[in-house]
Amino acid sequence: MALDALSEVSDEALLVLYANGDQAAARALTLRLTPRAFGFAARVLSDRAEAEDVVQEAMLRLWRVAPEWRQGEAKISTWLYRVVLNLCTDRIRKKRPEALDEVPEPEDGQPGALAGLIEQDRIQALEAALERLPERQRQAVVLRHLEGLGNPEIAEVMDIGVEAVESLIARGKRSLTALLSPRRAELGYENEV
Amino acid sequence: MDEAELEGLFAEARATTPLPSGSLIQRIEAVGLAEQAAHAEPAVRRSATPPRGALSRLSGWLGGLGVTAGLATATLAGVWLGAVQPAGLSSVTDSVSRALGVTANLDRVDLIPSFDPFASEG
Repeated sequence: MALDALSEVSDEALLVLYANGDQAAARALTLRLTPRAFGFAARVLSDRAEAEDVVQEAMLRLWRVAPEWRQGEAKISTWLYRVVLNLCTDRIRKKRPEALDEVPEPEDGQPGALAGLIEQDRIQALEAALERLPERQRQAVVLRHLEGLGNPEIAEVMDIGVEAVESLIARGKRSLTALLSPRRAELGYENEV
Repeated sequence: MDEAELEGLFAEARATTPLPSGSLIQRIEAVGLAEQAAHAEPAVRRSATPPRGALSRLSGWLGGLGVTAGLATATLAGVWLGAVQPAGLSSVTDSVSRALGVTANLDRVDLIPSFDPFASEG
């Protein structure tokens, strides 16, 4: 089947086509899912090379699960986010074995919270601040505010309840605000108010 | 920094999502196609490889091993009945013969008769 003809086909239908030997479906799924998975992994890991490894592994698992995929049980994108998240968590814990969720949240207006930050633009400041968040908070905030998932889907990806997701996001945003506030002027917000 | 400024920052970040390299895309697609071929290979091998041996080929032509076994059983049963002719079958053929008014022993045919009328004529 031609690639253009597959642009309107759902992920689930593409996976069925892939499992039935349609080569165009393999390409369509690659082009559709890899950027999403990579963007998420890169933000969670803050490392492109590691994000590439994670996404390759996650997509390999997708190819292998395709023949046994049960329709209607889960969205493929949700399943993929979950696999990527678990692989990222494994890597983070191998690098930093201490329980990251026990890292104390920064206090509001803590001076020098982003001291040593070399990058000057807002995106880099946000990425640096995200990196300072406890692991689960960062994952929840990235999924909600950068990947655009709804709270129920995030709950499915993270295997927790919706209320826990809401709590993680709220705490994560409070921490981000606290981390970024000292740099408000530097990031150009003073003149916009 | 307030809530609105943070939301604005998220929006800016969404617009600059890290993109995968072309080589990563190519690698993932290549692996996908290889996995797809690996999944398809056993089915292709099953359909492309002919069964070996005369019996297997005969089974294939006749529609499977079950049909071949049925035919073999019927053949053996026919040979057995022809050779020993069970008593039950004799009574059936006798009753049919009587009903038709045939008195000769239909199951006994003299292929080499001992009396040849043409031989006595000289």
